Amino acid sequence: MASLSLKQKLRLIKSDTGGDSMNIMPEKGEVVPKSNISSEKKMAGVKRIKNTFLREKQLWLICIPIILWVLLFAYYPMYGLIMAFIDYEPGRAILDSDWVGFKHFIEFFQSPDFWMVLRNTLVISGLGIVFGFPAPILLALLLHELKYTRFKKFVQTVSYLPHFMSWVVVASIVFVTLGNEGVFNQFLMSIGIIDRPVSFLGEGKYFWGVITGADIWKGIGWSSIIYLSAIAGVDSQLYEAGKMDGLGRFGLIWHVIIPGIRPTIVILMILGISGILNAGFEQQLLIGNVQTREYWEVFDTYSYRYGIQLGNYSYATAVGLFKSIIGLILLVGANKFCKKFFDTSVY
Amino acid sequence: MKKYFSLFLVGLLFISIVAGCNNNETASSGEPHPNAGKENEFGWTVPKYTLEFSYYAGQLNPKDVEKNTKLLNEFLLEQFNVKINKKVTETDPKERLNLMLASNDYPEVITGLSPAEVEKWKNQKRAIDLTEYIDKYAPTIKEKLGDTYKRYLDKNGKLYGLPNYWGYLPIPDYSANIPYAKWVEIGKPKTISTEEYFDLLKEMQAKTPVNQNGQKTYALSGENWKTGYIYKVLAGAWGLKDGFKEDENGNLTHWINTPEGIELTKYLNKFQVEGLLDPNSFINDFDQWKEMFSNKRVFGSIGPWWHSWNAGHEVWQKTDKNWKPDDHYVQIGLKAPGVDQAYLSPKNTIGSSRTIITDKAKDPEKIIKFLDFAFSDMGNKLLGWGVPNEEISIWGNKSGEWTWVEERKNELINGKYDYDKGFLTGQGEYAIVAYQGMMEDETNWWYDQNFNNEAEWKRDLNENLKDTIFDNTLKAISVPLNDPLAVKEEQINTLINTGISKAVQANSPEMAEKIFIDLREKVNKAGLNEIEEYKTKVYKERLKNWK
Repeated sequence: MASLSLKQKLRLIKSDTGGDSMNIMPEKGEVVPKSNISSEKKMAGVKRIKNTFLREKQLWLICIPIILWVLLFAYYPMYGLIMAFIDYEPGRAILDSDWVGFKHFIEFFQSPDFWMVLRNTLVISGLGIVFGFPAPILLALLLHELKYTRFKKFVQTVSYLPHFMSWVVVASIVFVTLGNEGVFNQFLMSIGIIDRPVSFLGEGKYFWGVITGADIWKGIGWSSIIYLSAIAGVDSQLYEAGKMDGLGRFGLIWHVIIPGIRPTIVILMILGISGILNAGFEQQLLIGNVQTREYWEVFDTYSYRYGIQLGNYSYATAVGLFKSIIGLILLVGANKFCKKFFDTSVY
Repeated sequence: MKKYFSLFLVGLLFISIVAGCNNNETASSGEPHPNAGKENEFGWTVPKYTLEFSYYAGQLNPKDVEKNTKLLNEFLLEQFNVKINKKVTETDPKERLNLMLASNDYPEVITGLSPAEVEKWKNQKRAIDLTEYIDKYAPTIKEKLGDTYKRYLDKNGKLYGLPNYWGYLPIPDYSANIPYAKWVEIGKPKTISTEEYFDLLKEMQAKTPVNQNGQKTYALSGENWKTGYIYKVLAGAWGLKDGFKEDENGNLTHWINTPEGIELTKYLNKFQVEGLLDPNSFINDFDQWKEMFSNKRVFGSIGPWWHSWNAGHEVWQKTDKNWKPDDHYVQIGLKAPGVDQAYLSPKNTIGSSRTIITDKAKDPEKIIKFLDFAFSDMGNKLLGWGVPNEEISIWGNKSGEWTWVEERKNELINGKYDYDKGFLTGQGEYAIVAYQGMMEDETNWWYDQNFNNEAEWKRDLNENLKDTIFDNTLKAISVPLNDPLAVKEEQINTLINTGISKAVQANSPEMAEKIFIDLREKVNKAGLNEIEEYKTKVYKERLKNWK
């Protein structure tokens, strides 16, 4: 657009808005004041929005409850972010509280736990991205390759089940399996690999592996649905063409399916990276314990324990806001990166 | 048509969302009580109209509360014309109370608050000033609190929080536990040294390395050690009081900054190094530990005496047909070598829990009158012991005299009392201003602690541990919640609980000591010294003003 002349730009606007009745083109030699041009551009923009709205009014009507929901539950509560900059006490009016600026942020950055919390959050999320993100893609590809439909449906259903279990149930399964007297320890002892139980749940060095494994197990089936539907959307003619070109099953996956579902993968990757600081909450509190705390305390558990439980809402908001800002930066960054290198983005 | 129908659905959805936010609280009215104005047999003057108030009692199972208050609620309504709507939550009460404040939705009476929390409610004008009400309508409260009344006042001389579970009850809490047979074998000592205790447990474990089901046994297992209470108890065995060491000038030092702290850590580590410590000691909650203990996989326990009681013979006598009365645990004192006196059970005579009446109270005068009755001996008994004169009651009025029900009393003495049945009479359900010291007739709030001289096991327990109980009222200090020190204290406690668990589970005493020293540096850097200074300051002020 930068290389277009003003006349060309206005012409484009005119054609965009379908404004036959508009006659904003200056005559040859006529001098058009800058303010006039900008107000005319504004009017054209408003008109375009109005036309778009009228054209899509049914869709907008359907969306009204959702928009209201978003405004009410996602945007309206955001005024509470101000709590991060004041000394708020539950029960006191926000406007009656003292303005303290970045005090709570500084307290958090200077707390003995800051680096530990940041490290745990990044590591647990990073492991989730590295191992947890490709896992459902792999499962979807494997499921797609199954030819026996009944078996395929059975495996799919079984793989969804953990998603519907609460973390309390998953934590008990983890305890039964990996506890000091759990099935896994007993198995290792019975085959002579170890002579005394390994404290998988009591030693911090195992925690990241355990939590990543539990996260993958719980979410792999459910997350694979979107990839299965993306695979189903790949044009069947491409398979036939691939086969004609001599591709085997792996070749078809590599050259047909993965390129076909790449936009879905990229979009979900961007969203995954933006939520990198959402490293979990219930699972940490349920599977973690005092011995492993140095490996499981993440932003959400930290702000819950020190903010909500102690009634220090300002501190909790500061921690939460810090997390959100990092998440937003990551979202924008990942989006730009993917736009540049994969030509796909969320906006 | 479709358009209107869609519009209708959208409207319906919107209304249903908004309706969900509606507050359905309604006030109730009632008929005049037939005995209005008359004093009932408990000394309560029945009001003309029902005195009704809501009351939050903290974290409990709502279904249990509903079941256990039913009979008492009916009794109070019929005999007292009083209706108490007890509210409990299954979530953390601190969290819940903050949400109540934030949403301006809380009951008329709240109990279980710390003095620091009362201060917060007071500052927000949510807790009402009780001073005048007490002066006018509560002679019993003033009389019972006596000289200690001033300890509950704020700096302006006003009273906002009444004590709950207050008074001095000389019954121990913490001890070392060993099987009765072993105790007899070693000559029934009242106290043993930490080293002797270690050797005994080690010997027992070596003799029975697996239980009757072939499961591995441990000399010692921890129950809720993750909360850190164990360190305070053990510090008591090393002569410290409630986790603090006091010098001749009244300066308080946290146990982690003392040589005794290293010793107690190395003591626990010794169990670990020799493979005698249950690896789940820092993970177990009570139920998990109970399963271990009741299956005889654990020989020793350091903690509340009722835990080896509840998880031991109370289970065995129900599940083991061949159970014999001697198959139980005995609680004894534990003292480190070279220590003159062990201090295992701190007592806060002014109580650490407070009850407030909030600004939501419709009739604070009448509520305070009821609380005044609850302060009386008869009120204390009724709310502590439950409804009298029922088949399952522990007490009753026999020929005009209030006495224990013999059958129940014998069950308590013999350790066969069915607590679940007893709870149905509402025992302890309305612990709003419970007094746990001795009442005029030498009975106390804890109905099952009234026959300790007649019950052989309890007699041993009290006899063995009576010297380990100490008055800790002056040092029971909580940091105000709006003070940044409160967050630091929480951070430090968390650091200690994690750090000591690592030190205890280190592979050698040297490693345990190294972890301990590193932790000490870390917590002092995090502000432990500031907390010591704060507590010392308040302690010295109390020494000056409370005597």
